Formats: sequence, C-alpha cells, structure tokens
Amino acid sequence: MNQCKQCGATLPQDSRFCLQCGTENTPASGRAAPQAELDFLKPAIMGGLALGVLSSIPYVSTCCCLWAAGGGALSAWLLQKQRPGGLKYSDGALGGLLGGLIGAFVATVISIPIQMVLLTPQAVDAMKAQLQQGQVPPEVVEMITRFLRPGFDLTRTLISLLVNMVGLGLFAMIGGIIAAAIFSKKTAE
Amino acid sequence: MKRPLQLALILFTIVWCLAIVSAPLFHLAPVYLFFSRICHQIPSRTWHIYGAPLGLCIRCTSLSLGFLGGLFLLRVPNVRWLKISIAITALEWLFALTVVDSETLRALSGLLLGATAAPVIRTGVEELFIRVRTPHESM
Repeated sequence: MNQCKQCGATLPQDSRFCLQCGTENTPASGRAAPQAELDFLKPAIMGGLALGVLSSIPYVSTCCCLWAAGGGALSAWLLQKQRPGGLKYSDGALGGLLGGLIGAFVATVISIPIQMVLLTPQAVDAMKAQLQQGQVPPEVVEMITRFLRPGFDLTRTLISLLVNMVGLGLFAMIGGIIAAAIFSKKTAE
Repeated sequence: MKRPLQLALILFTIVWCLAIVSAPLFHLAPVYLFFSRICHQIPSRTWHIYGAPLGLCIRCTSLSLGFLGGLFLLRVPNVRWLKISIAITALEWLFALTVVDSETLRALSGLLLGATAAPVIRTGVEELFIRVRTPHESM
C-alpha cells in the first residue's frame, strides 16, 4: 500500500492524488500488493433500494438529489468495507452508478401503485388548476398536463424510467465518488 | 486522453447550467420535467427570471454554478475542504430549519460545496473512464 508523501495517509493503488490532503503522488515503482476483488452487485442493490424507495415516496422525496447521492454513497460505503485500505474514486463511481441505475428501476416500479392510489381524477383536476394559477410558463403547463392522467399511464412510466436512469444514475455516481474520497481511511500516526 | 475528457466535463456542465437558466427564458418544458426528478422546484425556494422560476431551486443552482467554477479554478482534489463544505452545508440546513432560512446562506453554501466537489468528481470521472477503456488493468 502506498503512502502520501505529504501527510502519510494510505493511498489506494495507482491513485494520483491523496484522498486526505489532495497532494499529487507519483505511483510507487515496483509491483504493488494485489487488492481484494470487489463485489459490486450487493452494495449496488442496497444503495439502489435505499435511493429508489426514498426518491419515490411523496413528501420524503422533496430533498432534491440528496437521496440519489446518498444511495450512491451507501453503495461506496459498503464497497469500502470489502477493501479497508481505501477505494479508488472509480470504484465509488462505478458502485454509485450501478446503484443509481438499480434505484431508477426501483423508484419507477414503486411509483406505479403510488400513482394509482394518489392520482385520482379529482386530484389530477386540482393539480392542473394549481399549475395554471402558478408562475410556470403556459407551454410548460400544457406539456405537464398532457402527462397528468389519472391512474397508471404506460408512456408516463417509460419516460419516468428514462429520466430516472439519467438523473438518479448521475447523482448516485457523484455520491459514490464523494463517499469513496471521504470514507478512505487515514493511516494511524 | 484526460484533456478531452476534462473539456467534455466542462462542456457538459456549461450545458447543464445554461439549461437551468434557459428553461424559464425559452419555456423549455422538457428541461423542467427532467430537473423535476432531481429537484423539488418549489417556486418560493427558486430564483426567477422574467417572472418564471429557474429549472432548479436556489441550492441546486448554486451547487451547479459552484461546480462549474470549481472545474475552472481548482485543479487538485482536496478531501479536507470537501468535508468542511459538507459540514457547512449541513449546518446551514439545520440553521435554516431552526433559526432563519436565508437565500443568501443557501446560495453560498451551495457554491462552496459545488466548487470543492468539482475536482474530486472530475478525478473520479477520469478514473472511471480510464477503467472502462482498459478494464483488464484496473479491475
């Protein structure tokens, strides 16, 4: 395991920058010790389930990208338990991205029964009226109301899955990278 | 290979930030719909242009702009500063919840977090890209 020449923190194999102080380190010459193979699937499923459930529950989901980034971070945290010496940023990125894609699927599936229960004809009418009274431009209101139909709607669900995959995948990857940087352990001094 | 990747990341972030601003200017409904997946878009917590809300709330907009600034200004990732800015954002959130909810504080903490996260995320994306290109060496 390499150490940072500036602060002495343990560096993941081939890492260019120290995860603690940010100092650039040239990789040590010679053969590095082999690292444990990472199992990405289980951490990604756990992170994906967490972010998928939290991102689809009404009211709880109003935390912007926090749940997506948090799910990615959870995946990375579970990954670093497999490799206590520290993760590479790319490990966190990959774990987070996989978690985000799984979470996108979970969120879309969970949203189906929620829509069937909450999107009653009366609720849809109330939402349309609220949109028309708000500050949203009329073109935007028109497009949103086109998708606002009571109950289950296949087109809306498929578009939602696509948007979830891009949005949640991106922010889960960001959460995974940040967690990989934060959770890496510092060498005992 | 890293230079084109860095430029692509900067370009992507510029397009992202322009999308936030252009959604109300050009009434881009698909942009609002996409951003609705990652942001609450509550009008009272969002800046407005010509009477229409931006695509993202104040905190998310500040994070995005801070990220863009960080990509330009900060070369080396610094996890200590990232941890400090996460702590500041968490404190600001608690402060807003219990004492006073200030737009300025939300914007400042978002800018700081976005800027300090930028070089860390850039490094992660670079490493991921290299890993995907050469999986036998890095897995």
